[in-house]
This record gives sequence, structure tokens and C-alpha cells, in this order.
Amino acid sequence: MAGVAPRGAVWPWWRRVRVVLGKELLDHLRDRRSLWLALVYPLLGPLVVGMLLQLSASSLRTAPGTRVISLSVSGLSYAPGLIQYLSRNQVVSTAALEGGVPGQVRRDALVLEVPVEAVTRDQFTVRLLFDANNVVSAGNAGVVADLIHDYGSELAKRHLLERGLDPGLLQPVAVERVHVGRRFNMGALFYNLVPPLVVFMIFLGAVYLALDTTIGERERGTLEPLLTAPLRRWELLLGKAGAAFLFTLATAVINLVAFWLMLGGLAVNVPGLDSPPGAGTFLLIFVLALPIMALAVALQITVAALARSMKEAQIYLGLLPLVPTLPGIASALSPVTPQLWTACVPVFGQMVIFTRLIAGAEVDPLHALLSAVATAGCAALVFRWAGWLYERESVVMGA
Amino acid sequence: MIEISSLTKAFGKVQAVNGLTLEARDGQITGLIGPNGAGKSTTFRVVFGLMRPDGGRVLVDGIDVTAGRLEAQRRIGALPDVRGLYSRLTAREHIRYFGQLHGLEGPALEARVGVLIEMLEMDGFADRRARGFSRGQELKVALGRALVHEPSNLILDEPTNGLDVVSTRAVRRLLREMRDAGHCILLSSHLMSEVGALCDRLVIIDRGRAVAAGSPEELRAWTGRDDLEEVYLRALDSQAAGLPGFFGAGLSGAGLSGEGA
Repeated sequence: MAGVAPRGAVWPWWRRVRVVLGKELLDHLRDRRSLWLALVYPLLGPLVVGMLLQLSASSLRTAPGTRVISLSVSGLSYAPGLIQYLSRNQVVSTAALEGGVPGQVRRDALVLEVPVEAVTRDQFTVRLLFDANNVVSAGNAGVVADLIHDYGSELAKRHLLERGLDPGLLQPVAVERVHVGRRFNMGALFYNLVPPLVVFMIFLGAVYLALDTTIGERERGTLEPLLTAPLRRWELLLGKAGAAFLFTLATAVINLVAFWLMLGGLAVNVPGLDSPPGAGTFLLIFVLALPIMALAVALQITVAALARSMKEAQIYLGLLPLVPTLPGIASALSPVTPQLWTACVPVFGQMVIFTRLIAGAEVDPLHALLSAVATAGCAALVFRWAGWLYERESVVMGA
Repeated sequence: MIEISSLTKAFGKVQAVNGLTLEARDGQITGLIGPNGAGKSTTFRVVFGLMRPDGGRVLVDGIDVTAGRLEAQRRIGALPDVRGLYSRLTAREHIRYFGQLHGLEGPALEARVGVLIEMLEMDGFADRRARGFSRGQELKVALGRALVHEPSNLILDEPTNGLDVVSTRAVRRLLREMRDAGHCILLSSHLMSEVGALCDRLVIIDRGRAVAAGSPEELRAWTGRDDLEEVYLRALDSQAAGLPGFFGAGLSGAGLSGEGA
């Protein structure tokens, strides 16, 4: 047999990479854990944001008159003018049950107590009872309190005019609020949460696959036989990274489509919610996020190479998605204006761009390009590092 | 043919292989035996191309494993001591995967996989996923993927470890058939009965170097003992006492034992 060439052709590197990639896809498409993480988890972010938005829409303060509020009134007949004013502003008043006030408050109802002196006196104090622990009750209480305040102001102006006095004396310094941005959008805060949540899922989607195909192979003892096959380490790594990248890609698509559908659906049903970004915006975010996906995969396989065990790698990779996400959440609460320095920060610079895209604000193409290049460059460096690590015997043999 | 000369490999302060020289010829089964920690698995890992030697060299069919790793690996069928199967792949998919990694494809690959499944008597579980395979079934899959590219050299680390009698006999029969077909087979084992029954030549190593080599008959004659276990212990004792080793006919002591052996 000496010198007899073995069967099989010497393929170009990309064919060997494709073989590894194909095996990893076949293997992990049969793995419930990988599929769950890549295909089901990305639905959770949109669901949570959707629920928060829905809850906010039904509980947070909105402009008076935009929704109907039920009010139980004790002493309903004592202040007919006030009751009529509230009624004109969508607050429907009914007589409160005698002695049942605390129970009514607990059942989400607002209770207004009008004193009997309201019949005879111009000045009186009403009591508004609500449950501060209930966001619906608290939100409605704010609306009703504002309306009562406005009614009181109207009444005071009328009294001053009747006495020949200038109503402006009541308020020497007035403030007029002028909102120069887009129409008031109660969903803005939640819209700003979309980019960090998308990035979080990008860093989470293929994490199990990345672990299983690297340190998992070593712990199971499948890596050693695999490395006896004639392929370069970087070819092996590229095949595994390719599979992880495709899973991440699927995660991102599901995540973005779910956000698009959820926000679109809520905009139809929730009053006060500004029109959400369209499919084009989400498509653009997907394209711009490709370098983030590459970086996520590169970091996952690098961290797996550095860890001494699967458990250790799981701890590190469980925390990894938080690293790029937390600055994004901070910038959701206090949006950052894109600048040259922000564009140069991998991932973060892109999240700043995504936030503006979601908000419908203008984006400088140079910033968008620069931030994508910064992330892609970082991904290339980390992947190179991973390649170097996988040349080491300690990584392969676990010594 | 596998030629190992003056091979050294250390892990920190531990000298795992210390100037090992040996030769495994075509058409022969060469057994590598030695106590735990003697350097057998490390030697194999260097031959497989998994580790770089600190010194010396390994030739596979004349190709230096370090300089021409991929070409050498194409000529090796490797059975490491850890079988390592993917639990979600079937036996057939395992063999197909390694065939593809060796550049096989299409009908030729499928035909080769079919031949191996038949040859290794894997029909009953060829299309079952590997989770839950017995040791014997695992070994057959590992052997199948090692043989898929018809390598001229087969290197097996403890090939019958944990197997029942029937499976052990089947593996031994297969190895003899391959030897008769002209393959070079190098195996390690702790079982003296196995190396006695299978091997044409034995190399006894201790502390990373060869202490004796020759056919089982030559080694028996050297020690004056019939039992190979006694032969093995005698070789180790000689090494411990600083006595010269034994290297069979046609084998130069310097060429096989390495420096100072």
C-alpha cells in the first residue's frame, strides 16, 4: 500500500468549509435547544414590548377626552356643573354605592366625593379616591384631577369677569407648551428599546450552536477525530462560524419581522401611538446589522475557545449579550445624537443609527457606513483571534 | 508506512515522548505497548497531525506530518482513544461526513459508505442516530469513518477497549484482512493477549522511548519467557535497571530505541 494515494480528491478550501457548514446545520436543525433559541426566543422581545405598549396605552395618562373614564360620585347631585363638565370630556359619572367606597376603588373604579357644601358655596374641596398601586386607576385619576382643575380655573375666570377683573390676574406668568417634534408619540420610549433588543437577540440566537460546535465538540471528544481529517483549522472554524451566522441571520429576521408586525398591529388598535416604522426601515436595519451578526458569532467562538469548560463558556456567553445591549438601553432612555465618535464605536454606533431609523429621524449615510465598517472591522479582528486560538494545542486538546 | 524518528514532546515539565524511534511497515500490524503515561497516545496525536513535535520527525508514506500535514492526514485512517460520535447524526451520516472531508462525493461516496456498512456489519443501526449506541456500535462507526477514504495507514488507539468477545473478534478479523491487503497498521493496546494474537511486530515503550522491539517470537526468545505479559514486564525491568534494550533482527538498536536506549 506504500505510496498508494487514498481515495478522494483534494478540494478547494471552500468546499471543505461547505461540508463542515452542512454538517453543523444538519446536526443543529435536529437539536431542539438550538432551534428554540434561534427561532422562538426572538419572538419574546416583540411580545414583551407589545404588552408594555398595550398596557401603557390603557393606563398611562393621555390627553383628556381621548378615552372614556368611569367615575363613581358620592354626592352626584351636589355639583351638577362639574359633573356636566366632566361628561363633556368623556368622564361618565354614576352615583357611588353608599358605604362601598373602598371596595369600589379596589375594583379599578375612581370615586369622587363631593361635599354637601358644594350646593351652597362657590369654594369647596372634592376628594378623589384612587388606588395608586393600580396603574389604570392612577392614570385615570390624573386625567380627572386635571379636568377638575381646569373646571375650577374656568369657574374662577368667570367669577373674576363677573366682578370686572382681569382673569389674567390669577396667573401672572403663563406657559404655553409648543411641541416641535413629530406628533406626540407615547410609544417613543418603547420604539427606542427595539434596537438594543434586536442586538440582544443577535448575540443570543446562535449561542448554543456556537458553544456546541466548539467547546462542546472538545468535551464530547468529537473534536479529536474531526481534526484528524485533512482540513485546515481556519477552514473548520469558518464552517462552524458559517452555521452559527446562518442561525443568527434567522434569529434576526424573525425578530425584526415580529417587531414590524407587532408595532404595525398596535398602531392600528392603540390610540395615541404614532405610526410605526415601515418594512423598508426594518429591512435597512437588517442589512446594516449584518456586521453585528458577524461580530456576535466571532465573539461567541472566541469566548468558547478561551473557556476551560462548557459551563464556564455558558456563563460568559450568557453575559455577553448584555455588553452591547446595556449602552443601547441607556441611549433608549436618553437618545444619543450620532457623531463621528459614536460611529466609530462598534455595535453602539449602529444602535444609535437604528434608534434614529426607528424614530423616523434623518440618518447621515456616512455615519451609517462608518459604524457598519467599524463593527465589521472588529468582527474580522476577533475572528482572526479565534483562528489563532484554534491553532493552539491547548484549545484543541483542552489541556 | 510510518517512520517515527527521535520524536520528543513535552507538556510543561512532563516529557511525554522522549526520543522515540519506531517504524510501522506496510503489510504488517505493529503493536505499541507500554504502561499508562508511556507516551502512546501523545505519539499517536503527533502522527495524526493534532500536535506538533518538539523534536524529531514523523513520516507517513515519506511525507513529513509537520510540513505536509494535510497530505499526511489523507493517508491516515485514525481511530483515537476517544471515539467521539455526534449524538444527532446517524452512523451512515458520520461515515459520509468524513468521506466528504476527504474529498469523496456522489455515487462513489455512497457506494463506499454502503461497502463499509456491510463490511462492519452495521446494517441494523446504520440509519439510527448515535445517541444510545453500544461501545461496539460506536467503535464500528469510528472505524467506518477512519476507513472511508481507504487509507494506506491505519492507526488505532486501544481498538478493542471495552468491546465484548464477539466484537473484539470481528475487529481483529478486519485488521488481519487489511494487513493482508497490504495496509500498514499501527495500534496501541494494554492487552497482551490482543497484541500477541494480532501483531507481527511489537514495540514496547516506557517513559516516552522504545525499550524493546521485534516480533513476538523474537521478544520471547530474548526474555526466555513464553508469556507475553512476562516479556513485557521483563522489558520494563531491564529499562528500569539501565540494561540495554532488545531490538529484533534487521532492526538496529540505535535506529529503533532512540538516543540512549
